[in-house]
This record gives sequence, C-alpha cells and structure tokens, in this order.
Amino acid sequence: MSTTAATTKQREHTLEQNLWAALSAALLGLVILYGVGFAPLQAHNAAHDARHSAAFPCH
Amino acid sequence: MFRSIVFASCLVGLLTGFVVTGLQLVVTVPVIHEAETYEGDDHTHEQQTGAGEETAAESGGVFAGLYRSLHAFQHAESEWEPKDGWQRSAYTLVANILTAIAFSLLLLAAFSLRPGIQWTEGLLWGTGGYATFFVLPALGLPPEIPGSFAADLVPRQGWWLLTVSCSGAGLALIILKRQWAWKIAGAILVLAPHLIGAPQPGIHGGTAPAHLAEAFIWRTAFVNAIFWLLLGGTGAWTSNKLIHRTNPSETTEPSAVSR
Repeated sequence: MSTTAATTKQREHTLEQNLWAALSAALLGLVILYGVGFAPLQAHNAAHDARHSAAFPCH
Repeated sequence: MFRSIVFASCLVGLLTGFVVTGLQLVVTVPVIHEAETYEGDDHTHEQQTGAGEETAAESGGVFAGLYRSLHAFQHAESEWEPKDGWQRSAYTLVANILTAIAFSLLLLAAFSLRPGIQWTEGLLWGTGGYATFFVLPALGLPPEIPGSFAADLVPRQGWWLLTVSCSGAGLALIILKRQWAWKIAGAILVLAPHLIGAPQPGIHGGTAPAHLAEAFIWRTAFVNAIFWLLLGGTGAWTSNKLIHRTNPSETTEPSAVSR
C-alpha cells in the first residue's frame, strides 16, 4: 500500500516539476522574443530585416 | 527537464534560423531593400506616420504619462546600423536564430507536457503557431515594407500583443477543449481583437509602389509558413528524442520509489 501511495506522490511531484520546467522555458522564450522583436536601440537596426520578415510591428 | 527543453530548443532554433535566413535572403529581403530605395537619404528609420500621430499622448488621462515614457523608450533608436551586405545578413541570421529559439522554447514547453508527440502532430502545432503569431495579427497589421505609413508604434505593438495572446489562448481552447462552451469562448477570444480593430494610419500607402507592399505580404506569408512548419515538425521530433527520452521522471520506476 505504501508503495502505491509513494508512487502516486512521486508522480504528482514530477508532474509539478515538469510543469515548472515548461513554464520557465516558456518565460525564457518570451524574454528572448521581447529582446529580438520589441526592444528598441541597436537591437532594432540589427534585427531590422528579420523583424520585417516576421511581421513584428516595426518603426 | 528545463535543461533538456532549452538544449532541444537551441538545436531546433539553430536549424530553423539557418534555413529561414536562407529563404528570407532570397524571398523577402530583396523586397525590403528595394522599398528602402524609395525612402530617400535617411533610408531606414525615419518614422513614417500618417495623421493621428501623438493624439493618444496628448489626450491626457491617467495613462498619458506612462504612454509618453513608453513612446520615448520605444523610439530611442540609435544611429548605428549594420552595413549592407555580409554584415547586415549576418545580423539577420542572428536575429532569426534568436527568434526561432524563442518560439521553440514556447512550443517545446508545450511538447514537454505531451509525451510521445509525433512530428505530424508537431506540424499541427506549427500551423497553430503560424495562425497565432503571423496570420491572425497580419489580418489587422499586414507585414510592412520600410516606408509604409503606419499608426504610432506603441499602440500597434499593444494590439499585436493583444491579438497574439487572444489568438493563442482562443485557438488552444477551440482545439484542446471538448466542451462546446469552451470552444465558443475560444472563438470569441480569437475574434475579439479584430472587432476592436488594429490601429490604422490616417492615410494608407507608403513611399514605395503598392505592388511592392502587396508582394511583400505574400512572400512573408510563405516564409513564415515554412518557418512554423519546420519549427513544429522538428520540434516534436527533437522533443521525443531529447526531452522525453532523457527525462527519467517520465518512466517513473516504482522500484526507485520503494527503495
């Protein structure tokens, strides 16, 4: 009995861990996306053609 | 888990970034360069706006201060720009790789929660990304060549973000939920930004001929479709090989627990 209970607990634990890993990865993606697609200054001119091609709102 | 998502995303992003840059250099970038020849001396970043510029900032209100600082921040562009030729293409490549890694992180975050995902299902997710990040926002704010008249930047970025968030959430509800109530809520979310309407310039058009602007729309639509299909397909495949295979938690051995 204790084994199944422990397994269920472990499964819930890893599920929660996986969810946090996925959320952190998605957040990192959003930060990079802001940097490439939306940040002003030099990033704008460097990424100019890529931004236009991706149809990000640009100048 | 986190590390394998990031590693897999970098691989997928690198591959997609290289392929798409190659495509862009042949398909979309020549149109951008041609459009710039119509812009005059200050060939890239003179802001072209129609009537209606500044009205939101001048109208006072609670958010006017915030709006003004955002506006100043977003327009604080530097004079530096890469030289045409290899340097410019290299920066385009870097930007494309970063964009691809960023979108891969979003896709693979979702894939990591769907063990056993096949590349064919990945293509469907890619199509969803294409609709969310390209087609639906482009319905209100079509891809623009340099020198196009456009509404002020900050409201356009705001509408773009709103549309992308609503489209992503809406499509997810429509496709992933079984109950009709959720599907209808999803459809409303997808439509809402278009009912509000994208910020439009006072005058439509631009410095370059209209046929160039039109050609650019179809060319970017093509390049972005390839981008998303590649990202979805290779993303699902890589996710299967790297994330699910190396993640021990998914095999959850009871023996390890009872020990």
